[in-house]
Amino acid sequence: MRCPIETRENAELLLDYCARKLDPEKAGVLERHIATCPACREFRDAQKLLWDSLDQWDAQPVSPDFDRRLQRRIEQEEQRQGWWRRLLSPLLTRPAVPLTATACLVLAAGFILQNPGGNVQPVADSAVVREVEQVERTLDDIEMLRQFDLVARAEESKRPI
Amino acid sequence: MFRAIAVTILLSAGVYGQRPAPRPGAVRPGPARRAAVLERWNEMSPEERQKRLEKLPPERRQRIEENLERYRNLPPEEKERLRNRVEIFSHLPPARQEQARRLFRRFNMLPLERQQPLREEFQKLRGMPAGERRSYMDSEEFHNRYNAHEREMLHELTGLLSQ
Repeated sequence: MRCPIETRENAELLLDYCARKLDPEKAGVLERHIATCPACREFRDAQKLLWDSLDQWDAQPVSPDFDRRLQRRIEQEEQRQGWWRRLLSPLLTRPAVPLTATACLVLAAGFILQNPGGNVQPVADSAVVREVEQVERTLDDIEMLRQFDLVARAEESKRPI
Repeated sequence: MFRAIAVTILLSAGVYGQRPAPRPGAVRPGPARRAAVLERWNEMSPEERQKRLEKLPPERRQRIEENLERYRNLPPEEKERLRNRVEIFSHLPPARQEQARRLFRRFNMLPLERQQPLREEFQKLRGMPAGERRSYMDSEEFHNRYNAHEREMLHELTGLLSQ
């Protein structure tokens, strides 16, 4: 099985597995992969922690006059609010606004993670970035070929060393 | 809702934390250029290299520095041999190159004590004629020596040789 984190494929399998929604056959395949993949194991453990915490949370039962008391509190609060708050309240109660804010938050989190020092890569540096990527990839390939001679002998003999 | 947000943040962190994939349509450097760039880096002063690497995350920077140091310490003939292999490797179809890189990343995740036996086994398999290799890989001896994941990895590695 290809690693869902590494290949970015089948990521939903990993999420469904963590949510215990995966059928036993697929779960078995994924479990065998997880047993050998530290990245997937770490992701599963983090998800398990999250789900366990949510599972442990129990809502307290509400009192019989809860609705009435809540309505009274809302009315009192509205009277205490300033004009600016009343002006903004329709925006805050629309579902699209919190969703948009969440999307912005996720994008910002991703951007900060990619640029931990807060440095935005200037366009002028792109040649250096490309060169670093080339060197990194060449060195990775050299290390791989040093450990595993993946070049078939037939191909090798075509070229002088 | 909270679960969805938590999952989205976790996934976005994973995506942003990875090394950037090559841009679609970007011109891949030819083999000769790759070797030339590497040689230039090999001859650079440490300060010059630092300047080029300073904006990278520490972990990635350290990995590049370690790999470069390992390469610099190789005997000249070994460097030449590896440069030649990289050149041949660079002429393989990109999908096959990526498959090899993915396999190598998986190999690096194996426990250290299992890596050496697998490397040796691969060398042994590499030297076998295809028919002999197939019957050996079907044998009980091979099944007893390696677990399913290791066997799958060796199958894929030797498959790369015969493609």
